[in-house]
Amino acid sequence: MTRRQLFPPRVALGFLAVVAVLLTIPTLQQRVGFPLYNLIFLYLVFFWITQATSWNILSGYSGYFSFGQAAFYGGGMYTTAILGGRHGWELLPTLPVAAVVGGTIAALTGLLVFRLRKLSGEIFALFTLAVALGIGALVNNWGVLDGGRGIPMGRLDYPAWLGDTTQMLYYLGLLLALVAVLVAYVIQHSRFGAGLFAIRDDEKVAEALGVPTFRYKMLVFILSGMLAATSGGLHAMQVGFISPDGAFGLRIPVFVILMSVVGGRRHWFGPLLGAVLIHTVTDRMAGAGYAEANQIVLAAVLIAATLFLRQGISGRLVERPVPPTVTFVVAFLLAFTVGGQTAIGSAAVAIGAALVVLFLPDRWLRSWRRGTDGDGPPAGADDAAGPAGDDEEPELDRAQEAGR
Amino acid sequence: MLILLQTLATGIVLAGLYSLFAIGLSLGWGLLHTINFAHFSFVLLAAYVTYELSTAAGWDPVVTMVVTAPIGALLGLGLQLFVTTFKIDVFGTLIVTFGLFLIFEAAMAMRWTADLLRLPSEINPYFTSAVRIGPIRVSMLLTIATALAVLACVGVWWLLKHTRTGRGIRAFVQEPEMAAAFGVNYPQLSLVIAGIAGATAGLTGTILGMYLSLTPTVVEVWIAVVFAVVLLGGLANPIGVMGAAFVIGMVESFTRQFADPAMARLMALVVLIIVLVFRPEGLFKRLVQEARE
Repeated sequence: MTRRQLFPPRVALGFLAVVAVLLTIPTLQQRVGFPLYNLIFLYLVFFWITQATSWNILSGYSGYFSFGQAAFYGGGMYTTAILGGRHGWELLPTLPVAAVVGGTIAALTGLLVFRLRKLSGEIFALFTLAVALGIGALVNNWGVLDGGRGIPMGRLDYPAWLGDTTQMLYYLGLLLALVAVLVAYVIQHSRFGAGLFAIRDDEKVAEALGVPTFRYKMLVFILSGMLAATSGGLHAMQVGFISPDGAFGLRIPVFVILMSVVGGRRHWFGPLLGAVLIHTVTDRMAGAGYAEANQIVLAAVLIAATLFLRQGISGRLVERPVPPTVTFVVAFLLAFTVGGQTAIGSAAVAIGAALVVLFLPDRWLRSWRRGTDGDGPPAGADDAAGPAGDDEEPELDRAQEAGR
Repeated sequence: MLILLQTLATGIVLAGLYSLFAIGLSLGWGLLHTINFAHFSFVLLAAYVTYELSTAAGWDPVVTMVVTAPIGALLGLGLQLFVTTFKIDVFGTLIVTFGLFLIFEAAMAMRWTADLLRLPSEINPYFTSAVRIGPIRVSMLLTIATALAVLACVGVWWLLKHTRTGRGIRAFVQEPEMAAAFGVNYPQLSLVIAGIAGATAGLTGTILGMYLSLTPTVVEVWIAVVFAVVLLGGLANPIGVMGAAFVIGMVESFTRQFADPAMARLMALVVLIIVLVFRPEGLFKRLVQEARE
């Protein structure tokens, strides 16, 4: 394998541009005065990106599917709530403590579970679920931690230059999401990531080839736990009132699994995409009062994605980047300017349109494809998920064309 | 001494309820390679059906089993057909049925709202009355559950050990190709198992409908303890399920009596974690591997 640059200029510029734009938004919001809700919405997108990405570096990369995300999220949340809400700490010092708590929970769980002989994926999934529910039960029943009454957060101090609470959440949320995505990106492009992918494909073979499987699994589990817990600690500020049900319930694992499975688990971009997509849809549906219908739709999507879309949307997007992106931009602008939708509403419409284009049968877009083939794949596409299933179809099409 | 006996009795009937809940899951996982998360939804749906029939139609809640068991069986059959049609692997079934679980949960929330629904005690005498054995009292309802559990577990054990159907299934799980070569019709036999597993979910639902205040999320707290029984019991081993349920039931009952009642559920999880670490294959052998020796 030839040694490649970790951040090719195009990727680095892409990251910088996105972050720069996102950094200006709170200032813009104050100057131009668009609805504050957009800022909160974006914070939640960052939150879900962090959670889904932290889940994915363990469960997507190494294949050990965890149902226990809530153990870390809730652990971090309670750390901040107890230190900040009860003992009057400032917000920022609580976050590293939350990370340590999350890392410790992950390390202890990992030490127990990764030492099992014959550990199968199902056992790991249920074991992590049991750990999360167990910690939830402990917090619910033990007065030192909570005892079932819940903890009100009150006002936590933080450095004044971070602005008001919404802006502070926005900036810190963005920072955490950026860290999570960069961690996922770097892992994917390193020996470590290659080792994790090998574990996922066949752990025995990986072991035989000299991948230190136990160390890699422990390391990625701890990283995942730390990220999720830090994000959970920050999220305590957004939630305001911390209860055991909210912190350790099924909602968090459901969503991170859904986002990563739908987005694609083999690529750092997958959970990011899934988080944006699913949070936008959920926000619109809940806003319109269809929370239950939304749950049904999302669960159906989860089933469909498990059965038919092994690579997730990102796998498909890497194959066909341009038409959906163009559709998204055009539809967003149309809905926003002509249609008079809100920014979030337009995004939801545009996502819908882009998804339709993304899943049009390959034949229909052949003329498009011919036009875009010369542009080369987008950033990161060269090392994306290997060919599988429906990848073969366009190749075949092209071969047939060449034959004619 | 009396307290000790009483705690023991409470633990036994609790174990009965757990094994009734877990036997269907254990069968599906061990014999059909389906980890059926939706089992919990089937149970809750049956509980709501019991509630509806008893309050709206005035049935005796125990009699509603003649409806809930077939409903559960049909759901089990439907799921099994779905799984075979799409050829879902073990791990896939866990995610797919988890999706089903969420769909059921939302659908039930739409139909029955998030309010607590409880059978009024005048039409649910089983909840308040007790069976007396000398000075010891145990809940009538849990005694019924235990009777059903023993019936179901021993019945399944007998079916697997001593009938053509059971031998065929065990042969198939061990050696699919050989069994098929000898004419084992697995698709058909698997439907029998799925139906039985579903029916036990229906029965469990009727019991829980009388036992709990129903909300669409009420089964979530049962997930961990039921999976604990399934894993400890050794997959598809009905006697193992009863044994595992006995261990967990006792741990809960004794924690509740002699330590902190709030920690009872937690202890069950601690037992699960300890056992998984030291005996990952569970406390009891898988029935199918038993046949292999």
